[in-house]
Amino acid sequence: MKKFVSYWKQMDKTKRIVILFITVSFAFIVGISYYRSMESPSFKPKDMIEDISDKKTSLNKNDKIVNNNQEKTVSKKKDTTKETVSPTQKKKDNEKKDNQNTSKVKTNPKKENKQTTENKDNDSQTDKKQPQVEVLEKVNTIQIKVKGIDKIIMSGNVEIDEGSTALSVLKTIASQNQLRILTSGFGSMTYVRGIGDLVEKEHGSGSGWMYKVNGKSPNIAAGGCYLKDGDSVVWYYVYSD
Amino acid sequence: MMSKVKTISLIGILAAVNIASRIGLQALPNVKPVTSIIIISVMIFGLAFGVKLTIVTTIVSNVFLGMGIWTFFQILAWIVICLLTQIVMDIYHKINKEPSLIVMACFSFFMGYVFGFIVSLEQLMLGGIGLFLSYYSAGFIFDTLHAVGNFFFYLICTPILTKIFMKEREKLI
Repeated sequence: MKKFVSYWKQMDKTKRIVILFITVSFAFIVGISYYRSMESPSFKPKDMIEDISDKKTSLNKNDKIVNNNQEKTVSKKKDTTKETVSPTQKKKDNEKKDNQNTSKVKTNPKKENKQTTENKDNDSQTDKKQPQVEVLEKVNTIQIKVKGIDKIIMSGNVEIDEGSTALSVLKTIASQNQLRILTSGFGSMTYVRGIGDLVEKEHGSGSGWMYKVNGKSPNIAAGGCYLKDGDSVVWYYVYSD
Repeated sequence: MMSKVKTISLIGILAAVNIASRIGLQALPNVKPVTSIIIISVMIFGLAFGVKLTIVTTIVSNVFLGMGIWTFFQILAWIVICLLTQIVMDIYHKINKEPSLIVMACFSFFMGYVFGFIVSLEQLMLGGIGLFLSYYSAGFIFDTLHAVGNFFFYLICTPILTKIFMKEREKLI
């Protein structure tokens, strides 16, 4: 240690300055890249909430119900598509979901009576069953929409688990609707070239598929964008002709 | 120690050679004598000279070629190369030998890859480690061109520049 300090003192001035500059800038670079990688795309703008509120209420109904039998009948009644594989159920914090539900109810005052009563039922159910529901396990789902040229090709809810990415939910919903997906690359750097009949570069040289999570474009490849419960994914086709 | 006037004039001439060659050889990607000249000038004149030379040539040549956040990273990369060259020269001073031509040419070959690595660290800041890896692996062929260019430019430039600056070398050593 002392040898180090003496070596440092007898180094001439320019070398000291240069070494300090290099270490400070490297620390800066590593710090910023670490900070950027810790961010995750998760906030809900209000226009997305109004768009998907009807789907959300039917989702919440599913969450609050205790009995498995009731779950099956409710899923038959729902008009949204859902994956029929046995859901991977996990324990999660319910507080966030409840807050979202109540906020959505407030932003949609003009609804049919039936739906408002159902919402109130859900609220009362959550108030009653709050201590009980925490013991239960919950299914994580997200919404996904795929927009082609001037119309929506696919949309629905997909269950997710720990390793689900924006790409994997696209693949599940495409397999449900029997559309193929063309990709190139592998792993977390996969690039989606085409979905169904819309392939990149067919409607202008800059046309292709892009995606957003919760209304925001994450700056990472779809295979590396991990999803959380309640996210909404939109895949849309950009074209220029 | 060199007087300030002499420093300024020498930096001006060498920077002009660097800038002109960088702009003139735009068409050949990454084949430029800039790195070799910086290494030679650090060997002859010392670290402070090399740092000042890099800053002048980078800023002025980026005025013509395009300024951006990459300017800082190019300066950083060339300063790292200056530091490594100075460390090698210190080792040669301790052993009391002259730096041999072939060894230093191989050294400048590796400096090409060091330059490419540091310049693509910018992508680590922007898009995470995925972007960094794809940028670096896509640019690997350009780094190879840079390294080969460094090797040959070092072999060409060293006899010429050492003959010109022989007087300065006698004064310093």
